[in-house]
Amino acid sequence: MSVWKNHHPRLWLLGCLGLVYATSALASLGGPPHPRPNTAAAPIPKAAQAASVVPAGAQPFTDSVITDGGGGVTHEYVNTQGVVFAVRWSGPVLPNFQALFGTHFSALQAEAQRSRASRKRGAPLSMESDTLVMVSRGKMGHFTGYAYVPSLVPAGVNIDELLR
Amino acid sequence: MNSCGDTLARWALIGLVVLGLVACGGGSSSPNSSTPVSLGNPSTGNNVMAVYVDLGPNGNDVNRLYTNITICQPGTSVCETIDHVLVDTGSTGLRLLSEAVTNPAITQSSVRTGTNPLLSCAQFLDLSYAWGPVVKVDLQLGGETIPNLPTQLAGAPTYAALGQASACAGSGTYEALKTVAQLGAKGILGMGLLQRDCGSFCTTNAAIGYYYTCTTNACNAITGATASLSEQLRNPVPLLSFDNNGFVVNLPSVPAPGASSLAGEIVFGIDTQSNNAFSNVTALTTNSLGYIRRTQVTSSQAVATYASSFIDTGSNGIFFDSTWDALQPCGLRPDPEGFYCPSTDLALSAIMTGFNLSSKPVNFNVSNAKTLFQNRNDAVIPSLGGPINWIGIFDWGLPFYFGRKVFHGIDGEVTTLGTGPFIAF
Repeated sequence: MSVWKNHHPRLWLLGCLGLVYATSALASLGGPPHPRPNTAAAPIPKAAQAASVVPAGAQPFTDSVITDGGGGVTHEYVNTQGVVFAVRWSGPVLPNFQALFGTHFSALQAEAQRSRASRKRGAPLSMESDTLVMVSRGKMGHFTGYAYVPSLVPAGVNIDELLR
Repeated sequence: MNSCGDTLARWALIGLVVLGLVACGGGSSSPNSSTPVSLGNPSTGNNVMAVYVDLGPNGNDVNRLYTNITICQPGTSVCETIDHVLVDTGSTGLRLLSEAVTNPAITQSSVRTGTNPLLSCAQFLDLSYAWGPVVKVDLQLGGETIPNLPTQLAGAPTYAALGQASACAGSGTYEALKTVAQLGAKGILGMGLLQRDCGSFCTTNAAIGYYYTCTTNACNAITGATASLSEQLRNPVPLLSFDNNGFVVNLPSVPAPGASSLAGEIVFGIDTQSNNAFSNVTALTTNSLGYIRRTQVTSSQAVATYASSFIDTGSNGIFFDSTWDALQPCGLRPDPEGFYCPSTDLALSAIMTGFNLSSKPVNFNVSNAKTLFQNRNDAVIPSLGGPINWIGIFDWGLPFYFGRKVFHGIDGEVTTLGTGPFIAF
C-alpha cells in the first residue's frame, strides 16, 4: 500500500499527476515532506522537546501526518529548514518505502538484501549508521517502524522520545 | 530469500562443505557432530500432527519448524504430500509456493467461482512478499480433513508481473517469493493466535492491501478488493471438526550446543482429549494482534522491559535489544551477521506477562553464533539470539519452544484455560 498515492482522488481529478510525481521524487526522508491532505498537524509530544533548548511556544519541527484509506498512518517530521529528518509508520501493510525513504531507500534495500542473505529468519529489520537509523518491525497484519537521519535532527529534540 | 548470486554462493558453500567432509576422511562425522532429539513420550491420536526441524530444502537453515501436509483437489482423492512446509505461529493461513505443487489440478479451483480471481498479498519485513491467487484445497491435518480451505498459491507465474507492479511489491522494489530456495520451505502453514489474515476490515475496505482482483476477464490489470470472511486465508485449526479450540506445540528439549534434527508434535485442541490436557501451566492473554503485555529481562547488570513481545515459531532465534555489555552482535558476513556473538555464554532470566497480568518466568541462554554455526550439521540451536536496535521489542522465536508444551488459545475460541487469544505454558 502506498502511503499516499492511491488514496487522494482529488489530486488525481485536478490533473496533478505530473506534479504529484515530480514532488514525490523530491519529497521524503532528507527532502521536503509529501503533500499533506490533512488540514491540521498532529500535536508534538511534550516529552520530545527539551525545554532548555526550545524557546517557549516554538516548535523546532512539525509533524506532517498522512493517513491512507487502508489504515496506514505515516508521520514525517520536518525541521525548520523544511527537510524531513525522521519518519514513523504503522499499518496493516508496509508503507511504500521508496516514496518514504527517498534517497535513503537504497540503504534500506541493501539492509533487506543482507537480511535475506543471512541465516536469520523472521526477525525484525534494523540498522544504525551515521547516515540512517531504522527499525522495521511487526507481524503480518500490523507493521510499525521509524527511521531518521541523525545529522538532520534539530538540536534539543529527543529523537528516542519522539519515535517511541 | 536470496538473489541469484547469493544462491550460487550458497551452493558453492555447500559444495565446499561436502568436499571438506570427503577430504576429512570419507564422510566421517566431525568432532562436534550431534544427534537428533525427539520426544520421550510422543502422543497418539487423530489430533496429532508430526513436526520437525532439519536443515531444510536448502540444507543450511537452522531452527525452522516444518511439517508435511497432504492437499487434495476439493472433493476428490487427487492428492499430494508436500514436505518442508514451515509451521508459523506468527502468521495466518496456508501459503504454498506454486513451484512446490507437482499436480496443478489440485490447486486449480479458485476460491471465487464464476468471476475474476481473488489475489492475496503477504509482506515480510525483509522486503520480500508472497503474491498469488487464493485457491481452495482439501487439507489433511493429522487424521482430519478440512474441506475447501482458502490457500494462497504464491509465485503463480500467471499473476507474477501484476504483483510486481502492485503496492504489495512497493511498486516493483520488493522481492517476490517464488522459489523454495528463497523461502527455505515449500510453503507456510500460518497457525497462530488469530482466526484470519485480515478479518472484518477486509470485508468492507478494498484499500487495505491484502486482497486484490482483476479488473478485466483477461486479467491485465488489478485493483484492491474486499474479501469475505470465508474467502480470506484462515488459521486452519478452528475449521477442524473436533479438537478445534486451540493447539499445543510440543517440542523436546535440546541439549547445548545443539542437535542435528528435532522431531516433535502439534496436538490439536486444548483440554479436549487426554493428549492435550494441561497441568501447571499459566495462561498469558494477548491483545488482538497476538502480543503479550511485556517481557522483562533481569541480569546482574540491568533490568530491561520490552513492551512489544510475542512468541513465533517463524523466527529462528530469540531477537531482542541488548542492554548488556557482554552481549555483542556478530560481525558482518562471513560472520553470522544478524546474531549475537558474546565471548562467553550468557544465561538470562525473563518474566513474561500477559494482559491478564499473569506472569511466567523463562530462562534462556545466548551463545556465540559464530561458534554455534561451526558445526554445520546442527539444524537445532537452542541458544541462538540476535539483536534488534530497539529496546521495545522481544521476539521469542523457536528456541523458546524447545522443552515446552506451549498451548495456543485462538481468538474467540473457548477453552478450560480461558477464551483466546492467549498462550499458556
